[in-house]
Amino acid sequence: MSALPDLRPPQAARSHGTSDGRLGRAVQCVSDYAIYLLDAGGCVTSWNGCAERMEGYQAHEILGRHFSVFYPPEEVERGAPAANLQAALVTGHYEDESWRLRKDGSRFLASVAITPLYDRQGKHTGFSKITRDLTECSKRMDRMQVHTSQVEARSAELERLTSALQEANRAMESFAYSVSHDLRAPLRAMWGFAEVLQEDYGEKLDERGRRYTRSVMEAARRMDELIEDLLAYSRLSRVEMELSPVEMEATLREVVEEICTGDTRCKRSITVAAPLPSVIAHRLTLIQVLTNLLSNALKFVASGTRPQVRVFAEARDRSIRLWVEDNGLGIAPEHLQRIFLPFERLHGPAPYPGTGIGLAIVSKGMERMGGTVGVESELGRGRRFWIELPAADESQ
Amino acid sequence: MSTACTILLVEDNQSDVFLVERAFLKAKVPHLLQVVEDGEQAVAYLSGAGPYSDRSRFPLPVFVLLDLKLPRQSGFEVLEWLRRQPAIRRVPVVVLTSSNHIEDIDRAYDSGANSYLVKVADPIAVAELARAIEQYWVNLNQQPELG
Repeated sequence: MSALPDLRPPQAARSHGTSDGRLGRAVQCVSDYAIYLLDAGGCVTSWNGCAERMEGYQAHEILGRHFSVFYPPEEVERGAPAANLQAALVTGHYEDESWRLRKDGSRFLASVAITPLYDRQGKHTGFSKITRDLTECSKRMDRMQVHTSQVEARSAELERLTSALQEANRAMESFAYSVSHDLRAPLRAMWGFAEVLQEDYGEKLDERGRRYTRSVMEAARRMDELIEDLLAYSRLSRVEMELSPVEMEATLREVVEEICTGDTRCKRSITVAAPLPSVIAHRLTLIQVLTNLLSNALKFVASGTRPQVRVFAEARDRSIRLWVEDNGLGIAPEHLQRIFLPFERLHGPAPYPGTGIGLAIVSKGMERMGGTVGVESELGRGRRFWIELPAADESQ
Repeated sequence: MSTACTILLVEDNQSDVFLVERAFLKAKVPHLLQVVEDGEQAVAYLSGAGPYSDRSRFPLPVFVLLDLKLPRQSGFEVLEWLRRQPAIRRVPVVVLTSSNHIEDIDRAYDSGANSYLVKVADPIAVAELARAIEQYWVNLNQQPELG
């Protein structure tokens, strides 16, 4: 026995108070491992306390008995115990997972490892056999399975909620979209028939009647603009935006042409400090942003003042800041942040008509392109709007 | 030659019908505007079925002005149906609708529309649109052979 490790039950080891205590604790720590020593013929010569619990035998009942008592009858019948020992001898180690029998005849799933033992002279003396009860393990597996399926159920629920939310979002957008469009049908009629009234019956109306008709048409025109801006704003929130390099200078020229439509005085009032670097953006959205910024810059000037708008770029680290500077009325500091919110207007409709959505479109568009927007101003000193976008790598 | 200037307007909104017709009159489009109010009637007219069997009264149009949102059968369905009819599949179709949704525009062209126009509210723009249609689709555009 001296060549073999001490495999006494942990209690016995601990009571000695020697270094064996460490092994005892180690053995106890792995208490779901039953450890046996078998002689060369397969009879049990020693085992640990866990084996007692696992198999249900007392030490005196099992010591000296052949280890095949742990095998179910059909396994014994097909010669499994002897075959396993033989396999261990031939290969130096044998391992499998199979059913084992307790004293009370109940079965449990076990993982078994058999290793042949030799003395100093190399003589085969017996086997060590380690049996692990997999019942707890498989229970844990079952519990894990339950947890896994709970997690799966929750993630399915989450997925369902997400898609419901996306669906609701789509429904909301398509609602906004169709409301805006459906509003346009009666608007077309209102505007169109007011025009017909003016054309066909204008002479029969007195001046007041004609003024009323013009008011209807003017209101219709404002509502048309409002719907157009709302559609543009909701579209900006909705569309996919693929970003790519955009030539700022060409885009800006295009926008100026569009705004001024051949009016040379208008063109002269916009100075562009060329060259302008390219940026990463969504071209159509950038056009919309620049259009709104420029027409806004041209609009808010004191009456009698010729608008002067200066556009220039500033390289900042890896981004480009584009400035749009005007000589208009300026904005008091307390209103600076409000102006980017939808429907916020700092002026009454009379001198400066508008929907109050223009700068909200600028802000939303910049947000969607991953850029930023800001403004610097003082009352009476014009405004300096800026937008910032990632610089396009010119070498590419 | 009356067939040369028959335009089929497929439009369910009576105000739009009135305003389009008036705009054509003012643009002096030499036309005979035939109006049907839904997709089913459009199919019946184009195939000369039922009340539309008399081609001297209901001639094939030089082009169709087609709204997309229609009762019974949508404009898309009418368009897809038309492009499958061997005898009349080449009849030009100009979509005239309130939608400028890119999905609608793409689908209309995919279904065989020849042009896509968006309805406008401003009477001045309506008059310009009517003149442009007259210029292009009545005067400039070359007619295909049908049948």
